[in-house]
Amino acid sequence: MLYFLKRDLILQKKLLWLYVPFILIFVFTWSSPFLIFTVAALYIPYNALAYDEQVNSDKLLNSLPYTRLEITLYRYLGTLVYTAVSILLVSMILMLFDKPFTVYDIGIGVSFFLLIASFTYPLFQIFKQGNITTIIIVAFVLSIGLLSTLSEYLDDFSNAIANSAIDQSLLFTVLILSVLIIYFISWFITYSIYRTKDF
Amino acid sequence: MEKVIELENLNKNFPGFSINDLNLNINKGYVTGFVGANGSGKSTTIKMIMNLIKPDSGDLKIFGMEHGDYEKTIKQKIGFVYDDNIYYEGLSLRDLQKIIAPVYHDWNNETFYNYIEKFELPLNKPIKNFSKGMRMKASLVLALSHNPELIIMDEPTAGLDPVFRKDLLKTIQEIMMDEDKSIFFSTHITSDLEKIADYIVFIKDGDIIFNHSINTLQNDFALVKGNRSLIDRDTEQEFDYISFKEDTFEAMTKKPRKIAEIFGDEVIIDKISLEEIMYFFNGVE
Amino acid sequence: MKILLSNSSKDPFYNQIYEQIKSLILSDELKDGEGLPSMRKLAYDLGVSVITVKRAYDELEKENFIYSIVGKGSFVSENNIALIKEKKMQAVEEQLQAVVTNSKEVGISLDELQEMINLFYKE
Repeated sequence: MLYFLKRDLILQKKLLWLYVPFILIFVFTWSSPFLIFTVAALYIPYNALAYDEQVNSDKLLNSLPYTRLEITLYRYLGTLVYTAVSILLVSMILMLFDKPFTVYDIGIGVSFFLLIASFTYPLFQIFKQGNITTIIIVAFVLSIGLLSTLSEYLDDFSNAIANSAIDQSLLFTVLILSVLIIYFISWFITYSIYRTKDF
Repeated sequence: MEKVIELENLNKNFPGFSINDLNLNINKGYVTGFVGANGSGKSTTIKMIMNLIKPDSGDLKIFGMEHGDYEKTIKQKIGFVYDDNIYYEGLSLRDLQKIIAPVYHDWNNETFYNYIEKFELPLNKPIKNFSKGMRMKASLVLALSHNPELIIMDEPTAGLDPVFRKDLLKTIQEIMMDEDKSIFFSTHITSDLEKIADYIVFIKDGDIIFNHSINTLQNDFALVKGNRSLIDRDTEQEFDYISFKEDTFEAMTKKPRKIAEIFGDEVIIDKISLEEIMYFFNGVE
Repeated sequence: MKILLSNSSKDPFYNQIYEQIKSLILSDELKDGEGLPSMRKLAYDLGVSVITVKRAYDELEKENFIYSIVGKGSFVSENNIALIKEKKMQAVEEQLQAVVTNSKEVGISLDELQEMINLFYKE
C-alpha cells in the first residue's frame, strides 16, 4: 500500500504544486461548493492513471512482489486516501476565503466523484493502453459538463434535503453507504478483468 | 540437480500463435541462455514464468512453488530486466530507489550504490535522458539490489554495443560466483552465450527444440563439409541437417566421431557455432 | 593457475582446461595435495561458464588426478596409481624422444632401433 501512495506522490511531485492553484480556480469560478469537492478529488488519482499509461506500468507492478488483487485494491483504497486529503484541503481553502459550505456539499461532491471513479476504473481495464489518456479527458470533460448542468438541480436537491422533514443524517448515511457499495462492486469488476489479463 | 524453474505441459493460445505442451526445467546455480527467432515464444515463456501471462493449462513452479499461493514469496526472490521501458521516464534512479526499495525485504542500499558507481550512472538525472545502454544498466541495478536468487532477463543485450555487452557478461559471471544464484535470459546474440552460458535452451514456433549444456553442444554437435558426391541414401542418415551448394555440402551432425570413422579425411569436421546450430534447426531442408 | 584458452581450437574449452591442469599436475607445477581454485572462481577468471570448468574437474577427478571434499574444494591427489603411471609414461616418452633424436643423428634406422629395443625388452 505504502508503495502505491509513495509512487503516486513521487511521480506527481511537480504536479502537486499546481494542486492548490487548481482548486482555487474552481473556488473562484464556481458557485456550487460540492462541485469543487468533486473536481479536487479527481486530481491525484486521474493524474496517476495518466502517468501509468505512459509506460508499461502493469508489467512493472506485476513483476514486483504484488498480487493482482493487491494492485487493484490499492488503486481503489489509494483513491479513498486522496479523496480524504482533497476534502481537508478544499475545506481549509473554503474556510480561508470565507466561502460557506455544508457537510452535505462534501457528501454529495465526494459521492459524485466516487461514482465517476466507479464507472471509469473498470473501463480502463477494458480499453487498450494508449486510449487511457483519451478516456480520462473525455470522462473529465463529460462529467464536468454533466455536473454543471446538473448542479442547479443538485443544489436544489441538497437544499431540499437540508430543509426537508426526513431524517437528514439517515438519508445522508444511506447515500454514502450506497456509493461505497457501488465503489466496492466497481473494484470487484476491475479485479475480475485484471485477474486474467496478459501483460 | 535442483531445479529453479519447472514448466510442465504449459499451453497458451493466442490468435495466430500458440504454445503447446511446453516442458522446460532450468537448473539452479547456472546460467541458462534462451534462444530462438523473433516470435518463437521466448517472451511469452518468460512472461508466463513472471506470471504476466497466465497459461491456459499446465504446471509452473519456481523455486518449487506455484504462483497461485506463493506469488509474492517467489517474486521477492526474482530480479527482472526487460527490453522495453517499464520505469517511469521522468524519474531519476534516486526516485526509483525510493519507490522500489521498500517493496523488497532484502533490498540493500549498499549494493545499489555499488552498482551505480560501477556502471557510472547518474543518480539524479531522469531516465528519459539515458542512452539505451544506460537504461539497461539502470534496469540491472534495480534488478540486482535486492540480492535476488533468480535473475530473469528478456533480451538484455538487444541494441547494445559490444562494450556494454561485455560489462553485462562480466556482471553475470560475478553473480555466478555464488552457487545459489541462477540466471535465465533470452537473447538473439548467440556469441554472448557461448562463453558464459552453462545451458542453452532453443525454442522454435513455441516448441522447445533442445535444452543442452554448452559442453554437449560443443562436444556432440559438429559442422561437416565435403564433396556432394559423398552423400547418398546411407550416409545421409548420419547427418541431422544438410545444405547443398553446387558441388559441396555443409551439414550438422550429432555424431562427429562416427562421421570421422566413416569418411576419414574426405570431409572436414569443424566446431559448430550456436548460430550455425540455430540456422540448421531453423529451416534447412 | 596458468591456463590459456584458445577460441579457435577445435578442442572444446572443458578439454583445454582438463589437459592444461593435467599437465600442470604432471609437471609438478601443481604439487600433491595442493588446492585448486574453486570451479566458480576459475570460471570467472577464465571468462567461461561454470559447467565448462565443472566438466574439466569431473574428468580430472574420474581419473584420480584430483579429489574433492564437499565444502572445501578440490585438491591434487597424492600418490595415486594413475598419476604415477602418467608420470612414468611421460618420462618414457621423453627418453624415447631422446633415443630417436640421437639415433637419427648417428644414422640408426628405425628397423635397427626396433631390433635393439626388442633385445632390451626381452632381457
